[in-house]
Amino acid sequence: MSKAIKSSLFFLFSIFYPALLQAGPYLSLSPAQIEIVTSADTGKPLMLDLRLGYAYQAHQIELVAMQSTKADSINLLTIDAPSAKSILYRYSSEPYGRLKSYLILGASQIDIRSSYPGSNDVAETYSGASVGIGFEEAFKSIPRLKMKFDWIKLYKGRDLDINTMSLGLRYEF
Amino acid sequence: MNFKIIKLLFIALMLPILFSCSDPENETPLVNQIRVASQDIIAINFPADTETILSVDSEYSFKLEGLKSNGLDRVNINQNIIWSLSTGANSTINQDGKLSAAGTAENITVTAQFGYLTTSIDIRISAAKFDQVIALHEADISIEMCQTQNIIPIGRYIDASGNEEIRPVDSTIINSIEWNALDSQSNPSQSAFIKTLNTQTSLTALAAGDIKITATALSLFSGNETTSEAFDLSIGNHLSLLKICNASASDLSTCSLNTIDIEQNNSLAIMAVGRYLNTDGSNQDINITAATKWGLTDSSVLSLQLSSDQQQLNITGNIADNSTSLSFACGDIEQNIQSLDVSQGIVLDEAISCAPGDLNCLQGTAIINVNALQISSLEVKVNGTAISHNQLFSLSSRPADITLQVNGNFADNSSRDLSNDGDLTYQLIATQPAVVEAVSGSPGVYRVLTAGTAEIQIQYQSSVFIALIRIP
Repeated sequence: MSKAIKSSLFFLFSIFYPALLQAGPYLSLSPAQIEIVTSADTGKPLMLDLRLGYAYQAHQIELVAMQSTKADSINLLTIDAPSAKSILYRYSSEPYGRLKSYLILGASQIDIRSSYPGSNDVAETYSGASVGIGFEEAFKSIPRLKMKFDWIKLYKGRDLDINTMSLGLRYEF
Repeated sequence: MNFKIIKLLFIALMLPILFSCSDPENETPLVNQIRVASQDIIAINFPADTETILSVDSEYSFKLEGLKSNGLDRVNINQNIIWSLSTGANSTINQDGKLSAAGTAENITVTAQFGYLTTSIDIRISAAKFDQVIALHEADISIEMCQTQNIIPIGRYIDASGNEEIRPVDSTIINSIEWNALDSQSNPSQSAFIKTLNTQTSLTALAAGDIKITATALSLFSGNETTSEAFDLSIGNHLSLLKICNASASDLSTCSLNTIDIEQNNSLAIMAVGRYLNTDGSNQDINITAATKWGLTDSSVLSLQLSSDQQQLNITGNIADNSTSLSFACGDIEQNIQSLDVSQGIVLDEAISCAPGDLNCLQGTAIINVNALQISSLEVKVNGTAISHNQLFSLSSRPADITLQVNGNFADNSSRDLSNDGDLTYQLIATQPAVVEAVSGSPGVYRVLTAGTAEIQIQYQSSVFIALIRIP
């Protein structure tokens, strides 16, 4: 794990430890589309996004693990994101409403694999700070269950950006 | 705990990370692979016509092409190419692939990188200067009448020591050459022409026979305008069939047009197709519109215009309900074309014909009928208010006159005012007592006589509109 992720993890846990004692844990599960963006084209493999988190008032902290479900193709290029890990902090300005919006900050690490005829296979890991926005709405019949949408920039590089879009469910225990 | 402070601290920590964690070196292999894959390319190369000897102080734009993954098709690559020259080169190249040759002779290597693909080409910057064209084409030319063929003229270049270089005329000279076709008596001939477009030179043969071609250009070696020797050119005649087809036809062997119907003010694109007998006995059908001579019996009925690339002839109908004959020929025609610039195409305002018994001329004709533009619907207004066909329209007060304004919508989606068109007819359906009467000399205008319902039938071509107007 990169230095940036380790430092962020340590920092976040040290800050939130007292709050976490009073927080409710939650679990979320979503299909996610990864966008591997270059100036020439964009690859869009699919992943399964599993998150474990704790919420306290307007604040949430969550650990994210993503696993590939479907590679994408650009002509004869096969591009996939086998796995990704993130630690994210989420802040909502309206923590008690049914409809919430979130600012998301954190750090991520994502593996990318690609292969194309006539060239060496590429296997790289990209790590960096992450930023995004999220929206969620609680179900009226089951208020602990929420429908959520997140857009997160997992990696911002010089020639390459990696984003994720996910739409799924979050359940507060 | 004060979460506002926590939040601010967190943001303060994360923002620097956001802009410091990227790793450009890690990105390169993936970005390069996506760049190549996005164009479906598996290899790159310089086009076959890339010039490999360039003159000092000249400029040349390199091009790069890619081989598609099907292993057959090639495409031009125009973006995201990294251009470079070999170490120590005095010449320079920009990232658009434009090379500025040094002022002294040198051998350099030009390298193009696209994604992870790289290709190079050796270039010699030569101090030899262009003197004159010494050959019409780099190989023997075999051309038939009404055919067009790309050629690569060969030039002589001489350096300060008098050493000669024989090589294709470079792109800085090729556009400045003036080409002339001469007959056997060295008089100007209209049997062929040569023109250069975007550094590509093409020879078009208009009639069979033996001619001579000369090239005149400024000699950079001597500083004088120099005319080459006359190059002999024999134009063959293996044309067995001449016909016209719709320009959109894909199978040139079976397409044909004998009678053409077009609507007034509409256009139709056609092409001339020539069938040539190959040496192996097979036939080859080619679009020879550019070298075909075109004529009209009555040029007021139609107008003809060659497309800018001369690959099709656009016919536009001018006068409805008329016909005329379109004549076309390949070879020497009877009509005089000496004053024409044949490189612009030959379209005459008269019928064209081959001399009887002239085996080096093929001709054909087609009848073109110009029909009136078909109407699709009529729109009618009564004193400025739109009404519907066969539906009662009630006026709120009794006017002195009723004026009908008729607009026609046509099949080509155009529309125009037909109120004063001579082909528009108004028929007042008689009633007892008469509610309105036509105003003499003013079609579409009716004087109101009394209260009641007036029915007026309006017709243009096959379209009929019934106006029912209730007058209070």
